[in-house]
Amino acid sequence: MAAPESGDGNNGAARMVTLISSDNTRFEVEAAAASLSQTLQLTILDGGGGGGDGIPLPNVDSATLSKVLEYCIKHAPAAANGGAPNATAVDRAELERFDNEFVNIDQSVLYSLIMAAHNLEIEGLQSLVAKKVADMIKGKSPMEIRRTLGFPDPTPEEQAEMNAHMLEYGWAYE
Amino acid sequence: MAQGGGRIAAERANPSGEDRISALPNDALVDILLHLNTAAAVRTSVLSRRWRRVWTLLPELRFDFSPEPHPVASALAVHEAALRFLDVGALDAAPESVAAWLPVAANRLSGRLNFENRAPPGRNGDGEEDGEIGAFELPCFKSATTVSLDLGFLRLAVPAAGVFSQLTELRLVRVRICGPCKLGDAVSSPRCPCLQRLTVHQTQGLDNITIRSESLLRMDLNAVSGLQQFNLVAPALKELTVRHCFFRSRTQPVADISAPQMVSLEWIDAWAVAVPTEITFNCSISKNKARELRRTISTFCKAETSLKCYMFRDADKESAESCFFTASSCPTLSAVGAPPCPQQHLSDSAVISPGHRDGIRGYYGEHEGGKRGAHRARVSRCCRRRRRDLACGGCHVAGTPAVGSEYSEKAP
Repeated sequence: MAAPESGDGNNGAARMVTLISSDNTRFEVEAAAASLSQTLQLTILDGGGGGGDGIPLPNVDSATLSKVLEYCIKHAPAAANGGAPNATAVDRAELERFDNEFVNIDQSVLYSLIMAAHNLEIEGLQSLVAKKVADMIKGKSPMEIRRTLGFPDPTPEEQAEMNAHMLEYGWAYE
Repeated sequence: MAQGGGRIAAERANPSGEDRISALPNDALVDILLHLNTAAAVRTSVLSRRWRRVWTLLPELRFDFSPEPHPVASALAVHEAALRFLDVGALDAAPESVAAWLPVAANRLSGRLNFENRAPPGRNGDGEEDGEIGAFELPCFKSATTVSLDLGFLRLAVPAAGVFSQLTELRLVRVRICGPCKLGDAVSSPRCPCLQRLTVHQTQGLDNITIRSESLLRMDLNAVSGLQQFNLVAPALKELTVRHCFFRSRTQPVADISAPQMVSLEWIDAWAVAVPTEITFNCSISKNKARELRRTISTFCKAETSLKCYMFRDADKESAESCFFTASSCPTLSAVGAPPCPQQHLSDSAVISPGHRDGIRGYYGEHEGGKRGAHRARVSRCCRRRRRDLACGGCHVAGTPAVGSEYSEKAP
């Protein structure tokens, strides 16, 4: 982790880095925010992403990346404080409100976010989007889950498999 | 899933034309299932072939309280991933059903196990049905770090061999413990080299606890019914709590504790006046450390008489005959000894030997009718200390320690 130049962002003006989405849109963002991504953090600590270079993200399109960065910018100050301990109740409530609103989105966007959070290893975002999907599943029967998640209706063959499976795992349906 | 009819249906259900969630990598799907309990996670396996085995990759399994037959064994038989947390709730489980999954869990688990078996109301381990209910063996958890077993008074056999090499915390609650091995041998350093925290509550069958542990930091015994002998050599131990373990003793209980690093000691017990008890603390604590020492040694008995318990300072071995407690080689441990003695003996110098009179700094009182002042006067008379200088650790309802009551020592 020894960085050739300081990457902690504590000296002088906030250091900026440039991220390039799969469709070649450039996003300039504070290094502290981008560093919420474990994947990017190493590159940034190594001095990458500054100046005209930019860090290409071939797996993330611009719509998704802008959404991801919205999350990172909002959460960066709290993360810099080492998370919750110093945050006031107001700050925490505001973050919670932001999070709830943030995942109030179309499923297709949600899945793109899951992929991006996963690829970029942004722990908080991974957990947030996973919980959103889990909440969509909770308390529903398999058929209801299928409908909620946009699965096609099962073929008769699949239906038979489902029934057999439900018999085998009867305990999970009690 | 990739079938023509399916595609048409998908277009109907989802404008994006596919169930994109199924395209996510396993790790992302596992993240989602981690927010569900295990039964709900297992139910997702019915969604499609893609989902069939996703739940088997979960690093944590949580089973809500479930009656027999318990699903853990069948779930573990299918589950594939390394397990870092297993949480199992059972309702009146049979020993055989626990024996069916516990050894599998012991082999697979690298983190924490939490098992709670809720016994039907009324079963308290005292029953005569001991012989009817079978025992199961505590399997050797080779890589688990924390094991918590609340067994609802099932019988647990302590294994004679096996090293719990990663175990740092062991908690046994509502357990009837039986052989072939003594629990103390199993949790001592040779077989539990990393054990830091040991909690034993509401157990039966432990009449002797003998532990030598280099690693133990905290130990908590509560209602270890029938305990007769407690020997502890724990050079690193910081905190020891012993509550209500000896009170059913019919013979003389013995405790011998060597814990030179101890900073917190809480000892609350009650037993019949007729049973003398000898407790020896070998705590070579430096004077500086003694000042920091927060300790409570209180003891009281269930006899009909009122005041039960006195705190002594600088007790020594010579006082053993008048004091049921002995503190040896422990010059700085200032709160030692609490002779449970009938009220009428209080003014008797045979009970409080002359060497002790100046040492009494306070007392724990237990009495009927709330006559605290009278006790203070009596203690004051026999220890030649002014009444207002005596600290009272709080009064107890017979047999029950007052919550939070603590002997507070006044500065010499």
